[in-house]
Amino acid sequence: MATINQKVDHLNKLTMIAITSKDAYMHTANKEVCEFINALKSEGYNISEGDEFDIYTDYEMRVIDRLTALISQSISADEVIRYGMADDGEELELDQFYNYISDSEIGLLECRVNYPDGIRFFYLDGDDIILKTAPYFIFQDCIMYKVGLYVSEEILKTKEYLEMAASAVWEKNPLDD
Amino acid sequence: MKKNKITVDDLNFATWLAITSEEFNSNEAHAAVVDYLDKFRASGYRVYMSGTHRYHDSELRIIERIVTWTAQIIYAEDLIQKELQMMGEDADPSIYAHQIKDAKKGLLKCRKQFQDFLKCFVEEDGAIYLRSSPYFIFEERLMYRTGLLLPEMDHSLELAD
Repeated sequence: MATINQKVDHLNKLTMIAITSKDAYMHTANKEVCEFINALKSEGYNISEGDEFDIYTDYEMRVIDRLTALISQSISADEVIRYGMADDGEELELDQFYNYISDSEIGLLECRVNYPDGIRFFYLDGDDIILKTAPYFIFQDCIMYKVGLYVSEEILKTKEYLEMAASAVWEKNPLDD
Repeated sequence: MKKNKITVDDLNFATWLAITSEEFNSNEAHAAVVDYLDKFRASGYRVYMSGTHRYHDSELRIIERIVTWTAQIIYAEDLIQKELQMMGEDADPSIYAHQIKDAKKGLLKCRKQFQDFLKCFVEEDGAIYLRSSPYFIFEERLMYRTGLLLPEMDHSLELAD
């Protein structure tokens, strides 16, 4: 039976796969990571985002830099493809931007091959499993959605989520009095 | 005493200051870089964009850090615009302004951290070549800042290779 340290290692591996996938730049949750996190929660572990002191090492930052540069390239190219216009309103040739996204996908897969075990995105601290904080909010946003710590729009629209929200007992806000 | 003729190192250092400045995201050319390139041209050099002069892995790490900070500025500016459009007077873009401030600080930190600076241009056979990176965000910004791409999309650079 796997120890909790081995489970956190596996969580980091799954997170690496999620953040190097084709949809890494999209604000969507990764099913495998979320299911694994839910299993850890059911064992009594708390999963949360760390604060400004839970930072990556210099070695890890090299990986984060590359992942963020590639994800940023996909975001920028996707934005151009969506709107298809240059600053001056001229229509752009979009093939090149699809190529940029393909190049980023290849780069992300290379990262996955180079770092098959991932890096320490999460670490164990007692009963808490903490996601470290990257200095880049583009990366932090992406990883928070991928691991389900931010709720993606597609989940907000599901029947299960709407039913849960409807049946939730909201605490009274004392400031409303 | 008169200074010796300019070198590619001078050009690269000026370019390094341009790409790690708070204005790296601007489409405005950096005066010192343009001045150096003009002097090279006046001395008979041609300036090319090169497909074969690529960056080494250690240099790519620097570029990747610059790309991440630059992208953060572009992304945050875009989110500010969207928030202002959606929320009007109720918009609170301060969180994004903070991200822009962090990114500008990050770029300046790169300047201090990598004192050997990036060699974006190389001299070969009487020509100056701008090396190519795999990141189009960086390429585009670099070409604007060096005056090799003008805001009105006037491509003033010749393609080599």
